[in-house]
Amino acid sequence: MHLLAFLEDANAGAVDSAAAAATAARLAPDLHCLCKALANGHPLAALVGSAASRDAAASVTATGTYWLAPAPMAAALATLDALASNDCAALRHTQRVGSELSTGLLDLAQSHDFAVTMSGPAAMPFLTFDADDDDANAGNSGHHHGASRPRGEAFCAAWASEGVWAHPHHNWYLSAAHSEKDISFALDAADRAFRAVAAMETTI
Amino acid sequence: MQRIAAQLQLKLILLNGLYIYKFICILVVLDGLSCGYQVDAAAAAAQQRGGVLTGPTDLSVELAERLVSLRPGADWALMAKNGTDVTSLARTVARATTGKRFILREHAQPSSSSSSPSSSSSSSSPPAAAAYHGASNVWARGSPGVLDPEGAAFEAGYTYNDFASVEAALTQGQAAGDVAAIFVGGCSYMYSKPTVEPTPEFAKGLRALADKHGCLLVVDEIRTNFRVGQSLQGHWADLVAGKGLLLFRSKNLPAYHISLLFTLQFP
Repeated sequence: MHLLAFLEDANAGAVDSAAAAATAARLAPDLHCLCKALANGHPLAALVGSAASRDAAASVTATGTYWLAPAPMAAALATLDALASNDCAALRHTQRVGSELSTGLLDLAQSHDFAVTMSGPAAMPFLTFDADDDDANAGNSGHHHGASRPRGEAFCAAWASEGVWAHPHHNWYLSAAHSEKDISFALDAADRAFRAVAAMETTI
Repeated sequence: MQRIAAQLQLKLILLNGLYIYKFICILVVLDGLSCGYQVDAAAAAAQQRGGVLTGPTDLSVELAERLVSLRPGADWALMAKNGTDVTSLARTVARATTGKRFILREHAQPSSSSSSPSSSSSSSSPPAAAAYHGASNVWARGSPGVLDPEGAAFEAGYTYNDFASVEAALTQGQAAGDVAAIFVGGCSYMYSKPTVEPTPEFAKGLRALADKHGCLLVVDEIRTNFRVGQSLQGHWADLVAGKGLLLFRSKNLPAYHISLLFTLQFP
C-alpha cells in the first residue's frame, strides 16, 4: 500500500516507475534514523526499517516513557504536511536561503580579507576561519572541550551582539521559517562582525 | 537574564509570559525547526484530545504509515522521543536481525598501525573522536565519565568517504565477520570541523558492502532529514539515485529555485 502511494505521488504516469521504485528500495538504508526537523521542534524521533528487520524490530524491547505521547505525533504529521506541500517548496526555500547566507558570507569574508571555509549542504552550512585550523587544538576533540576557534568564536560573539545567533563549533541549521529579510539582516550584521574579528586579529 | 542581555546589548521581549532574547535570526538553536509555528496548533489540538496517555493513539499509526510511505523499501516505523533513542534502538535491532555483535561507525582518523581497525581496549592511546550518533554512553566515547569499554565495546571505526577503511573494518581485526551494522551519518559533522558531505560512490559502496557482508546499513539522518535532498525521501536516497546533493556552492541555482522565490510565507 505504501509502495502504491509512493508510485502515485512521485512517479505518476511513469512507465518504468515500478522498476525505479524497486531499484530505490534495493539501495535504500536498512534502518533510517529520523529526528529534529521531523516534528518541528517537538520531542519525536523515528526509526524506519525495511522488511528484512521487521521481525527483529517486533521482538526487541523498544519502549520508553513519553514515546507514545500523541502531541508530538500530531506535530510530525503537520510538519510533513507543511514540508510536502507545493512539491516540497519548504525544502527548496530552506536550501535557497541557506545558499544565500553562505554565498553572502563568503563574499563578505573575501571583502574583509579572511580565508574562510563554508562547508555542508545548503540548509546546514558551517563557517570556519582557515587560520583557526592552523591552531594546534582546533577541533581535535570530538566533544565540547578542547576545540579552539578564536576567530570563529569572536565572529559569532560579534554576530550575536547584532542579534544573530550562530555556533562557532557546530553546524548551523536553516528552516523554512527563515525569510529573505532574515538573511539580509544576518548578512548586514556579518559585515560588522567580520570587521570586529579583523580588529581583534592582532590580539589572537 | 536581564543582566546578561544588557551586557550583550540584546532586547528582551515578553512572549507568552516568558522573557526571551530577541534574536532576529537564530541558527543553531533551530536544529529541530523545519517550518513555521503552525505545527504547534496541531500539537495543541492533539494535547487537548488527551496528552498524557500511556498507550498509542491513532496518531501513532497514522504517522507510522506516513513515514513508510515516504520512500520505497521502508516497511515499518518505531517512534521514540529523541535521536539517541532511535540510534540506540537501531544498534539493538541490527544485532537482533543479524545475530552479529559489532557496530561500525565513523572515527576522526584512519586507524593507526596498518589498516587494522581499532575496536577497543587500547586504553593507552586517547580515543579518536567519533561520529555523533547520540548522547548515551555507548555513543559518547572519550567523554568525561564514560568508561572506555562502555563506548568502545563491539565497535570499530572507519573514515568518512573512505570506502577502503570500511572494508578493512569489516574484514580485519576483532570485528571481522561479526559486524551487525554500518552506521553512517547524513554528513560527517565532527565537532568544530568543517562538515563533509557523502560522495555518491561512498553511499552506493556502503550499500554494496552491507549486502556483501550480511550487515545492516544504518543511515543517521537525524540532522539532515527534511533539510537536505530534493524530496522527503532523504538525501541518502537522492545520492544512491544519482541526484546528488543541493550544495550552497551551486551558485547557479536551478531555475525552479528562482521561480519559488517568494512562494513560501510561513509566519
